[in-house]
Amino acid sequence: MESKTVTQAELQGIVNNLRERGARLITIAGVDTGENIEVLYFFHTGIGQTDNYRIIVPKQGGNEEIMSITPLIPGAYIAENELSEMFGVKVRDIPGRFFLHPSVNAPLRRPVPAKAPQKEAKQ
Amino acid sequence: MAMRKILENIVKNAVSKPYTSNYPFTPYEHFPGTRADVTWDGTKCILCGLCQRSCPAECIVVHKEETKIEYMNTQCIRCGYCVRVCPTNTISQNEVYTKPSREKLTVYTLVTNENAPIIKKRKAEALKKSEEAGGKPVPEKPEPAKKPEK
Amino acid sequence: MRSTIQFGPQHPVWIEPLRLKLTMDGEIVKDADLEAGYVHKGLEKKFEWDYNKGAYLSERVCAICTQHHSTCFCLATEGTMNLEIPRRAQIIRTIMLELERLHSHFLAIGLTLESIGFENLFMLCFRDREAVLDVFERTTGNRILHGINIVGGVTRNIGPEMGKEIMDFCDDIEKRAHDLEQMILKSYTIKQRMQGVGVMSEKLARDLCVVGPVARGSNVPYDVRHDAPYLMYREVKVTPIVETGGDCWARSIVRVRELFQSIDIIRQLVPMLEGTPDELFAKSKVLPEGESFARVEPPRGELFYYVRGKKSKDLDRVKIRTSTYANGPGIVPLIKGSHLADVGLITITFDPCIGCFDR
Repeated sequence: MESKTVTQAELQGIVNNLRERGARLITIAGVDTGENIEVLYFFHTGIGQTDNYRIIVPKQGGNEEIMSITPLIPGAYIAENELSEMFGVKVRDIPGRFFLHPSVNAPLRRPVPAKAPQKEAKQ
Repeated sequence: MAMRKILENIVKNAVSKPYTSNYPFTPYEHFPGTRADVTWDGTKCILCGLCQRSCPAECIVVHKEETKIEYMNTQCIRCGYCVRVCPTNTISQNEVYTKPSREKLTVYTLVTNENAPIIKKRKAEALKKSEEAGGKPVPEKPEPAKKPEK
Repeated sequence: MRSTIQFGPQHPVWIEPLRLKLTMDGEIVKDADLEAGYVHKGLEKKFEWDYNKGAYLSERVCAICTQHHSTCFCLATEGTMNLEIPRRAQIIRTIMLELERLHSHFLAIGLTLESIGFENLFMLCFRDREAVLDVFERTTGNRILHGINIVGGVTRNIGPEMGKEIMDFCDDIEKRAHDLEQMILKSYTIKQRMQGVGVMSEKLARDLCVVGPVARGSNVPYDVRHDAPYLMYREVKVTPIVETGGDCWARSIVRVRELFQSIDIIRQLVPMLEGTPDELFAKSKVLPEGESFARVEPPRGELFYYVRGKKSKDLDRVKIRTSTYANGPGIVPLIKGSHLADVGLITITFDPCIGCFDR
């Protein structure tokens, strides 16, 4: 599976292009890799072809924020809701609660792995 | 025209037998190959523990010291994974489903296979102890049988 | 004067719990609020265990489209390991997928007819569905949760006698499906009740990215078997069935026509079983590493699995996006402005499966 890593500002232009060409959004997925959180966007662009884009959000201990693509594609609302509820990454202008009870916070997020002691001694 | 078709249907349904069968009184005939719960054969098991490691519902517990296998029938999901994985073909799957009940149906199977590594080791240790204590010549233990079948 | 009515978690027209808060003005609905999460089980966290056992867990996400869930998980995991499955296993998997479509469409048509009050025809639909479940019990051993798909192939074979029985079954069920179609298409009452109710325009369907018969009833020809072929659909061509009405009648007619398409596909696949070598299972030599995704077409829409491995027996992350999850936002714009008596009918023609929605 190939995917391109882009920044948040480039993504808005890319999504606008795809929407004019008639592509459709499949879904938005979040992955926790320990150091940062990656957000993956999947688009269907032709018979047997898909375009995948990746955004890397470094972890800051709680309240990261990314821009939303709902003004361009209204169907992305529900996928971004789930991303903010399960990982704690807030998306602008979207209320972040749908499934879980108010006492549960970001269940799929993992703790940051501790650095090896040799590195700190060197610095 | 439609009225004629309706009348035809009414007469046909009034004189034919019902489509359903009288369930508790006529027993259910199952097809061959249906999946129900699982049984162990105590004379073939070698207590390796593969069935415990591969069960998705975690309903098998192998007790090696007491040479028993515990199987929680009410927790089993009848998937058949343990039947495929067992190296000696000990486990077999029944075809008649279990009736509903109010208690937990847990089954214990005692393993009596002579070739199981734990039972062999215990016999050899017991023999050595009786040799040292008695001092009399003891008849030779017959050679162990061939390797367990795959 | 406005009043609030709760179309509560339990309602006789739905099978699973879902909550709608309706603000009414007399008999017309002015505003609606959707709330779900009553059967949320947290399955995406549990999937981070042994990948062999994951095939049995993915079946139990939904009981009506189980074969598609386990096939999609196996395709995604085989993609991370670069594994090719033998041809006989591919044909058997595709036959099971098409049988699944038959029994699910009989259930959906029956529930739609029950919600408008025609209980007699609902019972006849379920009687025809029992014939399909008997075929499942003879081939796989279970009626609903089959358990024959594993990563690397299938576990049960279809021999020559079973192949002949499936062809006889196809003739029998085609006669029953013809009777059902005649009764629905020529009926004056059902047409008048369902036409013009809950119209979804083509622009709204493309904006909200809906899938399945909901999209194909509004002139959007999107079908994964045609747009991204998988398994045996590269050799057996499928054209999407499209209607232009956009109302409840169009969505139900799409399902009735897909019954005949499925019977046709099964008739083409069963003769392909003769002559293929008897291998059912391919053992893999590496552990899952990297990421991969797969898409299939269950009877309700498009299903998408994303799997990421970390070079050990445990998987790193599994993401599931089901078809009711994509169609869910489409319920609220359609309900606004309709009568209270039509709310049950509109939600049932979407074919909601809340077990898939909440996971």
